Amino acid sequence: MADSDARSSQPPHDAGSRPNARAAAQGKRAALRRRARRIRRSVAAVTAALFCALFLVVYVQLASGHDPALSATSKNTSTAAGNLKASTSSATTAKEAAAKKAEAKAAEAKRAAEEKAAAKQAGAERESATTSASSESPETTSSGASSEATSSGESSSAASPVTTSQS
Amino acid sequence: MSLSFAHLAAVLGTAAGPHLYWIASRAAGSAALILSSVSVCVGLLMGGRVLKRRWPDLRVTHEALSLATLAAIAIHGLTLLGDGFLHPSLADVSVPFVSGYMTIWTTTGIVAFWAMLALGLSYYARGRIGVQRWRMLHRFTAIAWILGIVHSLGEGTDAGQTWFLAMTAIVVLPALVLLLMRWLGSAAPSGSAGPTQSAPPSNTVSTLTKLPG
Repeated sequence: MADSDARSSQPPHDAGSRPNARAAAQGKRAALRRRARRIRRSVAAVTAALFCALFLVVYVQLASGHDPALSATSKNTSTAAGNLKASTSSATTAKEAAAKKAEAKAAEAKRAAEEKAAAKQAGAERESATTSASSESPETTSSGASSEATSSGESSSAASPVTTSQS
Repeated sequence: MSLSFAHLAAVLGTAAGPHLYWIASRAAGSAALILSSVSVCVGLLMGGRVLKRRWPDLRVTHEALSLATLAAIAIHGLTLLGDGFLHPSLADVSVPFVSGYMTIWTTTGIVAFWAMLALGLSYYARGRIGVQRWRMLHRFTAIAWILGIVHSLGEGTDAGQTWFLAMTAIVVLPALVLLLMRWLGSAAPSGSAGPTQSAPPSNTVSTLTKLPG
């Protein structure tokens, strides 16, 4: 605006006005550049200050234990811990039940093995009795031996549960 | 007094020590949100008649704020690479749909960043692009800015915090109002629109063509 006023007031072919106008334009341009530099610097400073302020806010929030992400994580962790506890207790119960089952199974197997052993023993006794009877009188003793064997077998089978129960 | 301060510093150091990268990333993201919103405000004011006389200052401010925004977003993404909990790769923070963590929100942020970078830096190539074409392209920066806000509200750790919402509202609402005014102004037919609505675009074009460089 001032430039145009100066230009209109002075004659167009004035030799002295040209350097003045050029100097004025250069000065203006330099001022504009200085102003731009100042603005850039202040924006950079404001940005750095803003970053530091936000960093501090988040830092203090986190350090004081009010961080939204960490509180959510701790909530999740506590829930997970609860779930883990429940699963552990249920696992313990299942383990106990399995152990009881295994114990019962082992006892049953033991009992069956003892019965088998007793039956085997009775069979061997019966065989030995039969052989001894056949060597003495084949006809009369066979029935007696068989009856003896039967009785011994019965007695052994009757005795076996006692031994089982004792064991 | 000094003992208590040292004790406090030690407590703070031990409590937040392993999360420094994460805190830096969050701070840079929030700073980027503020800077971009202020930059959009200044950019929209440049086209208006309110601060017409201060146009050179506004242009420099807008440019500096845009560059600061891009730097803050770069810091936001790069510091996340050092986080010991999330352990993202460079592709996770720079390529859309690669990250497995909140894929949609993360992708929104990544797309917003690339769009802002391309549209922002295109200012320096407007001589080649052509001023009119560049102006048309530059309007899409507002969409990138909105995507950035969506990303911060959808994925931001502090999105539920009162201070963050208040801060976002303070910087975003004025820019949104100005943006709506601009959109409504440019959407209205030139015949029906008053001189106040039709003047800013022509004014901006005339000033843009006068820009040095």
